[in-house]
Amino acid sequence: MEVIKKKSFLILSVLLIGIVITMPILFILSETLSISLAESSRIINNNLFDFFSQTSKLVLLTCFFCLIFAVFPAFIVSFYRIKYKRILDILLILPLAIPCYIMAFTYSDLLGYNGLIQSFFDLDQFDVLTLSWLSFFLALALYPYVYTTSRISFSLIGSTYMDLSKSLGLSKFSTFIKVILPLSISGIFSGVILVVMEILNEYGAVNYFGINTFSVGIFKYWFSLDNKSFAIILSFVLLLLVLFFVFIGNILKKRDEKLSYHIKSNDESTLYFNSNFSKYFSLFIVSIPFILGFIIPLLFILSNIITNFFSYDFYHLFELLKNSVYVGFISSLIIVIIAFYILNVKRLTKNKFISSIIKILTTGYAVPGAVIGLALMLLIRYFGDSYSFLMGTILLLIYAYIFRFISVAIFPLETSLKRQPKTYDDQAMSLQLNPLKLFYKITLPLNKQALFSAFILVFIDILKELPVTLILRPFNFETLATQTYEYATEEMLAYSSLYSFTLILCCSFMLVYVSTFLNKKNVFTSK
Amino acid sequence: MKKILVLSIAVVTFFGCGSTKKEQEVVNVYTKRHYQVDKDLFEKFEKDFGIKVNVVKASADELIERIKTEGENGPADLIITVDAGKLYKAAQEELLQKIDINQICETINPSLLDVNEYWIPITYRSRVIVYHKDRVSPSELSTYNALTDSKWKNRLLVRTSTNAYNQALMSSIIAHEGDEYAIDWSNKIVENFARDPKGNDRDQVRAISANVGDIAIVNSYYIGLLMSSEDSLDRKVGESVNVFFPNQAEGQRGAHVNISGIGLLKTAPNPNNAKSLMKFLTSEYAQEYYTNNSYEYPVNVNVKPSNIIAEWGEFKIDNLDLNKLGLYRKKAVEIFEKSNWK
Repeated sequence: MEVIKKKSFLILSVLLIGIVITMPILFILSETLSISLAESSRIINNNLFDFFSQTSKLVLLTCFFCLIFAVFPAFIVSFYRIKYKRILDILLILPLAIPCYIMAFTYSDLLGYNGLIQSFFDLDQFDVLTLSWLSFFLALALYPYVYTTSRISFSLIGSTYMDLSKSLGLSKFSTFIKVILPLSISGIFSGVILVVMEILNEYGAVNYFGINTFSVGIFKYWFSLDNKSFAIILSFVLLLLVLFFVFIGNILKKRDEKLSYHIKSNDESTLYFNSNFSKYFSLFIVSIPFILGFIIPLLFILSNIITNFFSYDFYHLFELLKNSVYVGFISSLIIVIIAFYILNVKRLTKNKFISSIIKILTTGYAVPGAVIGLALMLLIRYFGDSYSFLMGTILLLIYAYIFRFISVAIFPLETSLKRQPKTYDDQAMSLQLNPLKLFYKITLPLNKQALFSAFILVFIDILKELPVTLILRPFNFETLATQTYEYATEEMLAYSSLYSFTLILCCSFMLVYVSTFLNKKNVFTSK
Repeated sequence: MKKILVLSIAVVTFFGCGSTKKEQEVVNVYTKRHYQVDKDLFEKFEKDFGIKVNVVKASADELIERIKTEGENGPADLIITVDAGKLYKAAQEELLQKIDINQICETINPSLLDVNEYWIPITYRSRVIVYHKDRVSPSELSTYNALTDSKWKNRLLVRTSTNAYNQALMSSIIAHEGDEYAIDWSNKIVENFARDPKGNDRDQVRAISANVGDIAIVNSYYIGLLMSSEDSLDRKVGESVNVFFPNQAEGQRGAHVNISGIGLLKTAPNPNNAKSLMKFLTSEYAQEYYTNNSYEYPVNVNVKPSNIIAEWGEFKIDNLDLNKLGLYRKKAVEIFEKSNWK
């Protein structure tokens, strides 16, 4: 009896947390319901298609580039005997340290009509502000998600499979197509989902390139046309889209669980290069994403810093860094604690309801930051004046971050918790350890590394975060990201360089830390 | 675990402890303008008046939403936008209080003032035509309406219709010529596009210099910024074009202008400090600073435009009541949609 009581208490607490965190989404849903059917069908007939087609084009093309940048290098690094694998792994995820808008602005400056490349080589001038180029730039910043998930799935494929396909006389190419890809499709796809979510909530770069994605549309209708109904319908469709992707991801995962193909083996790298040429050529191809996605933008930013070195205010830099670290640290800590609590309750109670709550929570990652900001403001107004004091407080900002980034913490923690054998819990129970002690003595130490990497990944995301911070921040509150963005939108990229460089440096250090010092597998399953 | 705990406490106390300063006079500003010029002027104001300027920067629409959310007890005193239409919107939402302009500045160009007295301008800019010096002769240009001529097919550059400056221009065309004409104008302009709209105003000028098109509709100050840029390539771009003020002939309405303006909120907790800041920003000192650094036109008639923009010559400005830019905003966006102006 008491156990049941405790369980329902735990479930109730998660339900409460879930409701509080998802309030912005619930609010959007309830607003959608209040729009009359006739009006919504009119809206959908008129305009939805254009947003849908442009968004899908951008998403498909970016994912395509991501797969190219990610899967081949992941294949080479996983299956071939090469030196410095660990270093390659780290280098290849570093572009994640560069926010999408910085990548897009930097490259359009570099490749634009007036940029270094076109004026230096005196090429036939080409327009860089197109959907295809944008997806290329976005892919450079986002492919590490796919790379990491591909790497994990590949590394889980044991040498037994490889040996079998070798003895069956399959060529390397057909081994890849017939054996490796089918076995790792769900892993690769989980990285693709993250890429999709990132693209859907991108606003700055997309608007600059003149592309009508959902997030641009939401803004246009909410403000310029004063048509909140349509903006809300767009947000709603966006949510459905995300849920659809999460759903497909789950189906693939379920399929995986049925196949127990992860046969252990002692060495994962079984393939050799045929010649030195093919070796160096492959290594060259492997390094391209890193060179394009990290080295070139960073060099460009550095050269800007050097030319403008004396115009910078380093005290201001310190202020920005302090603000970024302050909100980042507190929010990440809270997010990791909440995520871990919810996941543990799910584990203890095995309640299906909680699983659905977690799924809904993960959609927050794809909701454009600006929509979160607006939904929060409408929510506060809905609750009445006595809550208006929350506006412009760090508290509200942190709340928005929780909603937006809790999924980032959930992914690595969930994977890590799954690996904790059930027998541990059972034994603990049989030793009559109470849940709290079980948590403290067993769960916590076992998942320490995952907690660390979840914390750092959330932290990096918050450092890069832009739209939510812009709308909800307190007076005189600038972060590295907001300051970079302000200069960048005014096309004063050179002035933003010191701030973007610091931002990239911080994120890079943390990424290197996560991937070097923490359990490798945790990192690779983290996102 | 203990380490983490200690670290967290250290971080929170290090960053979290706000300095306990004594009560200081403040003015709280919500602004769309995020230029260095504004920052410099706020610092100067702090120094001269001993009133601290607290700033939140975001888009005007977001700031209006935020003010509405904060309600009666909101901290904001002033809202600064780069478009009269947004100030009109704020006034429509009953967020602003009337200001007696004579208490602020008596030498503001009267045609830029709000007839309803809800806001005051601090700078203005014109949405002009720029043309390539070699490929276009100024004699080919005349009015906004004439840009619909088929001779400009594949030669005209302009940014997307989500941009407030384009929306304001369209609103002014609706106000002067009516809906039907505006739709027709928009359709024909779209037919003349050299490429799909994208990028900001500066990118349009760059595209002229890269031979993508020959003329562009942009805000005047961008040319000043390009010409004074530290980047030699940008200077080259700026020098490859000339500025043309449309609608200048006898009987024509003058070039479309828009203002950066400032509104005093009804709920302002520091109205006197706010008024001091308004006075300061329209003073001759601040007006000179604006025009010499951001290349906008000063609204104070005692201040001359900076040398760079003075070179383009004086021009006749469209005397349309600037509130109309807000009044017709929604219609403008609908027309853009209908004509597929991206």
